[in-house]
Parts: sequence; structure tokens; C-alpha cells
Amino acid sequence: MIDVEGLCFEYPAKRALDDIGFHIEAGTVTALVGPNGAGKTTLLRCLATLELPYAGRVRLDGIDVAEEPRKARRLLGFLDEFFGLYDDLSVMQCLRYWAAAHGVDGDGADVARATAARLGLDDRLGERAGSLSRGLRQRLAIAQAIIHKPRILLMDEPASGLDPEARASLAELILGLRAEGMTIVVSSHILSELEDYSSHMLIVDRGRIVDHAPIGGAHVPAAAGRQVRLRVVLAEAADALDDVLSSPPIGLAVGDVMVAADRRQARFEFAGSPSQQAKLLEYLVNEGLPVIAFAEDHSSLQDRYIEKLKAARP
Amino acid sequence: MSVLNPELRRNFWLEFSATRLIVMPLVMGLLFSLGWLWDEWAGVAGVAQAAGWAVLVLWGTRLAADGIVSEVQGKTWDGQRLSGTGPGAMVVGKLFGATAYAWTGGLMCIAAVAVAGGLAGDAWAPLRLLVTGLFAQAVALWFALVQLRLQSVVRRFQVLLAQVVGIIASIQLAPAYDFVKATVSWYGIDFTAYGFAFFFTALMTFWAWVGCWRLMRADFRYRNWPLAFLAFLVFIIVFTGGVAAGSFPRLGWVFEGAVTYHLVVLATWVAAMLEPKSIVLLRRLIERFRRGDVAGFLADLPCAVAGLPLVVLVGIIGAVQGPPGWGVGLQFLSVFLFLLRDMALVYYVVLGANGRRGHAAALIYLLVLYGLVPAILQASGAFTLIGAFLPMGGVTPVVGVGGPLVMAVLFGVLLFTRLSSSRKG
Repeated sequence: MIDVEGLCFEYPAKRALDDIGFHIEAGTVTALVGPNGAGKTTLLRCLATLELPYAGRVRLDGIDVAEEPRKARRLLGFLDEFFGLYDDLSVMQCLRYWAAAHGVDGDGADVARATAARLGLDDRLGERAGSLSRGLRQRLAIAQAIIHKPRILLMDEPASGLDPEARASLAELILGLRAEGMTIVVSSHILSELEDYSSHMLIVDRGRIVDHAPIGGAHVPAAAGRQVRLRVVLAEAADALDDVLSSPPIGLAVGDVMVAADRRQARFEFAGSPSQQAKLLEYLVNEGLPVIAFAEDHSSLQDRYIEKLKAARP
Repeated sequence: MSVLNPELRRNFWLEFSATRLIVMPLVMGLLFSLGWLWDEWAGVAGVAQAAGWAVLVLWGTRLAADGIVSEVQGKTWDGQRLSGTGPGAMVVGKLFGATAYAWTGGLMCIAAVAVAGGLAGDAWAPLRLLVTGLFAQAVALWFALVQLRLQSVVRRFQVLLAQVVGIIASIQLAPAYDFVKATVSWYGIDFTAYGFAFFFTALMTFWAWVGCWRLMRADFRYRNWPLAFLAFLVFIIVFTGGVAAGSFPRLGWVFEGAVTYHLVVLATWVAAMLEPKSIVLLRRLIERFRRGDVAGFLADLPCAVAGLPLVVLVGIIGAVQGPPGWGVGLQFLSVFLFLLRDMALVYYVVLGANGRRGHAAALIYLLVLYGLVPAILQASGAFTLIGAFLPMGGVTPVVGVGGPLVMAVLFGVLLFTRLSSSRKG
């Protein structure tokens, strides 16, 4: 649904995006993460057709955004971190305006009511946007972004400033939109929340892609069995750890191996039954590795993010 | 889809409250009554004309410029750029939506002037008010868009600046002709001074709309070739040609050659000053040229640079047709070299470390070069050197051509160095 090739974006004194390329499947929720200044917002704005890249190509459902920006925009909904609302208009008027601006048929009243109901704003239609609380304003902004039922939704820090309850409903909404087939890219610093609804994680650092992988380890063939992330700990460092894990016996599917710098432990994706896990452990021991721990890895998305970032940095 | 332009409808929601719809006719009614008490119909016409100017030009320009600036400040502009509303519809929505309430009052004034039989000696008064209002507002919106393209962060001060530019443009182009009791002939069509002012303002209103549309397209990130600007240069050539043939047959060359050339140079110079400049844009332009990406190259090509071949062409034709022995060719050449020098200077300064203030700094340098330095040279008796700083190639050929040539090359080299060092960085 989203194809990016050789994307470069420059500010006068800095290259914000450096030869970025990736593909995002339709119907996925991608968590766009990275440190401050990594280029997340610039990347989102390039995807949203708001910025012209220095070089490279962005295609949304096959449409080149530089060639046909208007056509590409019909597919898009975008929620900026610092969004604005028309404070003097009522909620109903705001929604009707954006419905019409996005070319929704009719006077937009029915669509506005339906979208407001979805976001829990149906009892606020007559209120001025300027009188809404932070959480309700955020909901209205999201309603405006999805009122034309875009196929791609880009959100920059959508949960910032929201209370826990509002964050929970945001996660619920994102999962609901994904279930309808919408492709969603969410940039956020709150990794624990991204974990609730994201199917993929795209890590950006210093203008480059550090990692783009499914969350939950789809790097190994899905047909191989239940996918888990495993962790192995050795009694002492072993240089062969990476090689041994990367060439398992036939029938055992191992992928995405991350070996710690001390070469005493590694995390990897594994698809298979518990008995296949036992076979893998047996294989590791037979290869002479001094295994002292072998279990499912329950480290969070945040741990994985930090791990990937550290691995990418010299 | 709604029949009404969404941007127009949104502005109508904001502008037309029940109270406001009552207040405007009430205030206008009281003003017209005052005019009647002063001098019956003549008084009504006078008051309505003044009130119409205040509402449409003085206030309307502010509303038109604010239509963009308030969106940027309210952080709703990106949403509008991403909506399905095209650049043309957005220009219409901003021009006639943001100013809708001013137009309700303005149209009442125009109607009152028309009903009162117009102003004494000015049959065009109601139409002139209408066109002046349209023109001033279009210029204000155009200048607000220019500022937005030059600097993505906009401030309230920029609304005032756009308002002032709109007002000044409308004053210069319309009422000034009131004091000229001449008949102007344009390609054989005779105009009174009022009529010609009306005609010219109407034409310029069209071009102001085209300018708004082009800038809106650029801000919407649509591919924008410099065709509109080239068409505007052609318009200048055709328009001045019409005045020459009609009103000044004996001074035909002055209009067809000298005036046309200098107006084309001026338009190119203004375009060079007002276009956004960045190292990245320039590098991308060069990169696209190297790759042979013609469409991309033309989209990034600054209007002023695109206009240079036409400037040269008009200059050569003008010089060839000019009276022999007047040094016309050298004069035109020196003007062209000053244009190149200024373009290189402004790009060099704006692309510097503090680019945000670059345009203001470049303007100061130009004031020094065009004003202060020649004044010092004159005061010190070095008259022959003045030609190096003011376009005087026809009078002092060596200094008049050599001076701007040296400066153009100097600033060109400096610009190239800046570009090269930024690429290495």
C-alpha cells in the first residue's frame, strides 16, 4: 500500500532522511519509532505529500505522490501532532466542512453524524470546537482525519496529552480501523501503547531505517508453527553463538537473531512447537554452547527497540 | 459533493451570524442617510464611495490576507492542503469567503453609488469601486502567499504588510488616473483616463488572481512550471505595445523598446526577490538538470531565471529598433547586468547561515549599492564611477557595463562557492 524508494529529504544544514526505502502492506498498523530528531515527522510529512523530497519516490497504492498529489491525497488521512481545529465552528460544522473538503457526497451531515458517533462525539455536535476538552479535541481531530474513509491513515503522536482512558479508546479505534482494512502508520514515543495495536515496527534513526519488522516475529515462516521470541543465555561468551543460531538443523525455523555485545546471550524469533524448542536446545548444547538459560523472551517492544538502536549504532 | 465551494461555505458559517447580518445594513443605512442630509444624492454617492473603499479596500485586504495567515497560525493549513479542495477553489474560497462580510457592505455601497447616479464626472465609479476592491484583496492574498512561501512561520505583522501592499497597489493603479485629463488609446480603442484606469485595474486583477492560483498550487506541492510568469511577461510586452501604437505613435520605440524592456526587467527582478530560496532547492534543481529530469527541472526552475531568455530577446529587439547613436544597446546591457548582479547577490545573502533574515539583509545591501554608494561618489566628485552602481551603460559605457559585470561575476562566484561548500558539508 505504501512504497518508498531512495527517499532523501534535506534541510539546509542537515539531511533528515537518507536514502530510505520500505514497503508497508495494506491493512497493517506500523509503529514509526525513533529518537527525537530521527526524521519520523519529516518521513510522515513526506508520506502525507506535505513535503517534497530532495530525491526518491513515494507511492501510495501505486500512485506517485509527486506526480499526482491530488489523487494520492484522496487515499490519505493525516493527523498532525500539533493539529488545529476551527474553534468558532460547531463540531457538526467542523465535520461537515471536512467531509465536503474531502469530496464526500451530499451535504455531509449523515457522514458527520456517523463519524461523530464512532468517536463518541454524537452528544457534542452542537458544541463549539473551541469549548471542547483536550481529549475531545483529539477525538474531533481524528474524526476529521477519517471522515472520508481514507485507505491510509498517518498519525503523528496521536496519544500525546491524552488521559489513560482516552488512550485506551484510541487503541481500540485504531484496531477497529485496521479491522476495516485501513493501513495505518503511527508515530509515537509511547512504545507500551504502540504494542497494543501495532502489527509492525519501523525504527528510524539519524534519517535511516534501522529496522522494519513485524511485531511478534513474522521473520520466520508462519507455516512453521507458533511464533515466539526466545532468549538463550550462556555461562561464558561464545563467538560461534550467532553462526550456530543462524544455521539450525532442517525443520527448525529461526530468524532475526540478535546477539548481545558480550556474546553471552541472544534473542531470536522461533516458529515451532514446544518439542521443536527442545530440539533446538539440544542442538545448541550439542554444538558446545554452555547454555544456562533457554526460554521465551518476554522483553517489551521498548527493549527490542533499544536493542535494535544499539545494534545499528557504531 | 456539495454544490457550494466548501471553503466558501465554511467562511459563510463564520462570517454571517444573525447579529452581523443586521448590523451591516443598519450601519450602511445610517451612513447613506448622513450623506443624503449633507447633499442629497450627490452626498449619498460620495459617502457610499468612501465607505465602500474603506470596507472593500481598507478592511477587505486585511480579511483576504488573514484568510491564509490565520489558517497557518491555527494549524489548520496543512489539513486544507491535504483536502480535495483544489488550488483554484481554495483561492476562490479565500478571496470571496474570508471577505464575505466586507463584500456585503461593499455591495451595498456599490449599489448606493449606482442608484445615486455615480460620482460627478465619473461614470465608472461603481464599477471602479468593485474592481478596485477585487484587485486590492487579490494583491493582499497574493502577498500573504508570497510571505508564506518565503517563510513558513507567519506572524500577525505579515497580515498588516499584505494589507498595506494591497492598499498601495490599488491606490496607485486606480484613482491616480483621476488627475490625468488625457485620453488614452490602446490598439486604437480610446479610453478616458477613468476608463483606462478601470481597464488596466481589471486586467491586473486577473493577473493577481493568476498569481494567487500559482502560489496556491506551489504551496499545495503541485508541479508548477513557470508558464504563468512567462505569460505575464508576454502580457507586459503586448500591453505596452498597445499603448505605443495608440497614444504615442511618434514615440513608438520608447514604448515598444525602452518601456517594455524595463518593465520586463522590473517584473523579473521582483520575481527574483519574492521567490523562495534555499540551498536544497538549488541543489535539487541542479541534480534534476544533471539527471535530465525535464519536468522536475522546470518545476523547480525559479520564475526569474525562466524569464531571463525573454528579457534578453526583448532587449535585443529593442536595441536593434532603437535610434542609432544613443547607446541603447549598452544601456540595455548594463540594466541586464544589474539584474544578474542583484539576483546573484540576493541568492548569495539569503542562502547564508542566517537565511531567515536574508531577504531583509539583501534589501539593505541593495539600498546601499543603489543609494548610498552613488551618493558618496557624487559628493566626492567621482561622477564617472557612478555608472558602476546605477544603470548608466548608455552614458559611461566602460564603467557602466564593466562595473555591473565585475559585480555580477563576483557575486556569481561567491554563490557558486557557497553552493559547493554546502554540498561538501
